[in-house]
Amino acid sequence: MISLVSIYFLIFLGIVTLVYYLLRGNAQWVWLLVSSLGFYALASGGFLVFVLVEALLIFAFTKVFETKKSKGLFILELVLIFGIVVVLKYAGWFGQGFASLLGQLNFAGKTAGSSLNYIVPLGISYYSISGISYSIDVFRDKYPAENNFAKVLTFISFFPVLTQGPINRYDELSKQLFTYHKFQYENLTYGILRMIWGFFKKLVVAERLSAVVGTLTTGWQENLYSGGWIVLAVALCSLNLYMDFSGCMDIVLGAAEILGIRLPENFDHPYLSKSIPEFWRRWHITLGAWLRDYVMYSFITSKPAKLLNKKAKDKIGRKGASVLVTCIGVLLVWIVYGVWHGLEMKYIISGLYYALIIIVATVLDGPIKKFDSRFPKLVASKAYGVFCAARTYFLAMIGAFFFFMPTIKEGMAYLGNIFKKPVQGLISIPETGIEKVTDIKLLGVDLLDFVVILLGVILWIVLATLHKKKDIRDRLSDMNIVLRWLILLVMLLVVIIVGNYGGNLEAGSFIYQGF
Amino acid sequence: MEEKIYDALNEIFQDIFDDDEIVVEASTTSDDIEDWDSLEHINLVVAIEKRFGLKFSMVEVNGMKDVGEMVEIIKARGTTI
Repeated sequence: MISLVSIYFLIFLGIVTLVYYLLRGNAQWVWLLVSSLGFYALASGGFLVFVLVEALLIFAFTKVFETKKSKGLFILELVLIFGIVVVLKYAGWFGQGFASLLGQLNFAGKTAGSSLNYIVPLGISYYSISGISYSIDVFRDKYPAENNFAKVLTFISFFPVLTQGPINRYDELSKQLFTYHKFQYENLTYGILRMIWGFFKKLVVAERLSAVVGTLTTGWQENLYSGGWIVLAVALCSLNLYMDFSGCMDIVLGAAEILGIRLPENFDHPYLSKSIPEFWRRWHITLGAWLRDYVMYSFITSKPAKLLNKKAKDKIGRKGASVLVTCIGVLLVWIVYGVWHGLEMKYIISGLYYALIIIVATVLDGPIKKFDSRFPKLVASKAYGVFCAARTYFLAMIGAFFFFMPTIKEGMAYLGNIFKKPVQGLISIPETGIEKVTDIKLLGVDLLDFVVILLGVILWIVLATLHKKKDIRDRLSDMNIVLRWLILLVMLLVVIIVGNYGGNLEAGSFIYQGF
Repeated sequence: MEEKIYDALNEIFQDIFDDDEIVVEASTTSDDIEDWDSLEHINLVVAIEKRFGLKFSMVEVNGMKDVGEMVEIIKARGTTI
């Protein structure tokens, strides 16, 4: 098993890079294909067959679409691809649901659910929707279909993005994948720096946050923790998800950069967003863009949507009709968002939660604009900006919290505990013998861990602020060589010494890897 | 050439927004036309693609900042009007 945060991945990447730059011309991307298939086989074994089958399906259908735009065939392709995903990914879910139904109906003495083991094939949701995006683009005549199957397979299986994205577009990535990249010292150093930063976010900060959030959110039934601790856990869920996922993206983008390939960014300082629609343009950007271009766009240009728009125009006016059609599109987008994460109710509801917020924002667009133009001074003030950003963090935090909890019901019950044992000791948890701040190590988390998290978050805020003005790596390369290497070395040592990885040099998996 | 493109665009804009008064220029953005929201943007794109017999990539669809950029892409495609 190769995880992006294992020493094996670093060795693998080192070998791939070395050979890659020794090769010339087309041999380079062929080597990438071989390495990617090798990577997948090492990471996921026999599941490699699904990568091959999907690539073959996508290749065959796009070749047909080039000459024949058959809607029926297009639907058949979607059914086949999503059929594979649903059967593999949700087999366990269906199995368990079925088993618990049997249990409830007393058909089976014991719930058989536990015997239904299932493993989600690595990255299947990611490479499937990348392939679908390529198919739709060809179907829409955005660009011609690729004649070379090996190139389609390379696009589908490109190893850095295989496990967690970012979700690529064929026209953008193929420009880079299939051209010769000469070795450039800058690509190597910039890529390595970005990877180190990703390891820092994941191993030093996210792993610790996971331990804190995990500890505080399990065992909630026993009502162990006072309200303050629960609030802390809720507040940290979103940050944990961010550090884990964006840390992974830094590793992925850095690894690709070493090979001379620039992948699309997946995060753009999401916590600076002033509204939820803006937040989703800056968080998991490539998924949002995919939903916009392939779900929203398809819906708006569809016959039913056009007809609805036309009919509604006469009744509720042009603006009203536009809002109505947009809102239905938004609802559709977020249902797909939920289902993409899993068929569990909590994912669907978490999608509907964001849909509701965005629909409210769409409906109130007029009044909000009026408010903005009436109080321009207030809207431009820093305090108002901070208020909007805080409000957005709060809404996203609630969304992330329910994402973490096993079910919505448990999440609600957990939140209810805030008020059962309110402030009477933010720290004191009599049942567990926790009374002083330093006692929290009884929770499995050392006070020192909190200090490391805090310092890590401060460093992240400082670097992100600096980076927004000028790329940190440009700043570093402007520095004196001794200072530059000293900073690099310190960062590396921090990751190695403070990083939270297991004894076998392999940290826990990424939160987003399961989707 | 450019003039002809603008003439055609004016027609499309007037048709989409049901307003014969609309005249677009390079610097026109969605802020200048009240009804130009994301839905109408997609309708515009589809109408322009049909009129000029070309296809915008998804990156282009989402990246057009003003009418001038639209015209630049149309010109670069060497379209015949």
